[in-house]
Amino acid sequence: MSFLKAENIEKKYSSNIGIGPISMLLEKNKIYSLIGPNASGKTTLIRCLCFLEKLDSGSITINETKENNQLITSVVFQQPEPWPHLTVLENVMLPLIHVAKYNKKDARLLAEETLANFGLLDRIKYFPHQLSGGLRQRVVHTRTFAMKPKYLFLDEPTSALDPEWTEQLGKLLKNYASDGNMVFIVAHQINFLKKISDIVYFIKNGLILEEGHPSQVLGHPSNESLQKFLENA
Amino acid sequence: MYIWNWDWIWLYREQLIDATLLTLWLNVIVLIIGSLFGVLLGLLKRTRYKIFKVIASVYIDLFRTLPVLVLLIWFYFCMPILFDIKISAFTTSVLVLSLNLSAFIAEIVDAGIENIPRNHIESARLLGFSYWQTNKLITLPIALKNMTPPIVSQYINSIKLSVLASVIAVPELLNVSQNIISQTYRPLEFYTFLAVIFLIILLPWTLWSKRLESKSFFKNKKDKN
Repeated sequence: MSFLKAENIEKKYSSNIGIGPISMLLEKNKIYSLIGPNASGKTTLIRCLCFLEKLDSGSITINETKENNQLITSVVFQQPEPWPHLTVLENVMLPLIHVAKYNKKDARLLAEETLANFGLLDRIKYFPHQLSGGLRQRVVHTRTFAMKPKYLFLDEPTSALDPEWTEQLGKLLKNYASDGNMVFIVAHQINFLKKISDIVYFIKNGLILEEGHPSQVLGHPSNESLQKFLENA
Repeated sequence: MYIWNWDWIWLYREQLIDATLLTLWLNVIVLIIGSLFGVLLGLLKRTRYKIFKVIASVYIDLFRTLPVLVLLIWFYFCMPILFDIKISAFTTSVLVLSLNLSAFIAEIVDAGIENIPRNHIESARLLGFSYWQTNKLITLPIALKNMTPPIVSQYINSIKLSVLASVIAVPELLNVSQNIISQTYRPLEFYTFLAVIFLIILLPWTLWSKRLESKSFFKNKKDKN
């Protein structure tokens, strides 16, 4: 069984800003979600889990056999901006060609197939600055989805999406997880998370205060600050 | 009422053509040397090595601050006395204008790379691109496109500054015009002609730079192709 395991990870920017110690075990075929107030460390935690930040202490291990050109972890950022010098199609194809080593024809097929899932097939020749915020966000999703990272992290993937596409993204994420991948998602739409998550984490001031099944964490929280957080949701 | 007589221009056409060609030649060399050196310096300023950073920064600040006219006079008249180094007026002009241009280009290159959102580079790394692939496929193309409009307007400035070479008697357009005027006493015709020539040389660049600026990515344009 392959998994990503974080043990007592800590990352401090100054004495009271930062995260940790946090431990978590992320398994495949599951969708994890992370909720918490602004500036609670959600983005920092994701950055640490994807090895973008140097940890102050603790360790992250991934139990995974690396196949050729296979992407292990990847992130979709909070303000997703496609590369501005490439069209929508080129944005999706570039990593497929240069990292996954597909030939041009296969890369194009896979890119178009994934773009169709995100409703972007009629926009493939557009440049990012010609698209609205929601469409740009979908381009970045497509780009990462097409690369099929085994551990996919999404930082507020729904921030620019309308309700219909939020719903659609939920379906895509469920399928993606059931294909043998892990999905870790930060979002503020509690109802959306309730529907798709297997495990929910609540973070505040850099610490995980509650974790468990969504019906329990989001329905009957025991932690006081989580109760307060959900009251306003 | 002043009576224009354009025959004078025709009469001195050979000198004027020579001067125009020399002006063009001077500027072509300056643009090439200044650009190459400027890009190199801009990249040096972005290296991890502190010593290179300091050298590049000092150079950039120095030559962005010193007026071209002062530099021209200093290199042409002071260098021979102080260090016994004598260089021709043309070479001095190339040197000084290149020093000036390269400092500005270096600053543009530095800012052009600095201003690429970190997001673009990080997402490339997260999608599995190597360091060099990221540079080649993402950083460089975005930076180049950002840098082109300011670089073109810097070129225009540099070409305009090249008339200063006349003070050390480089036979470029202004210098030659002044010489002709002192013989013919027809300043209006020759200075007007000079203005027209510069307009012809520079107007395409100006229009081009405007076009490039309107094509910049980070402007949120909504036109569909």
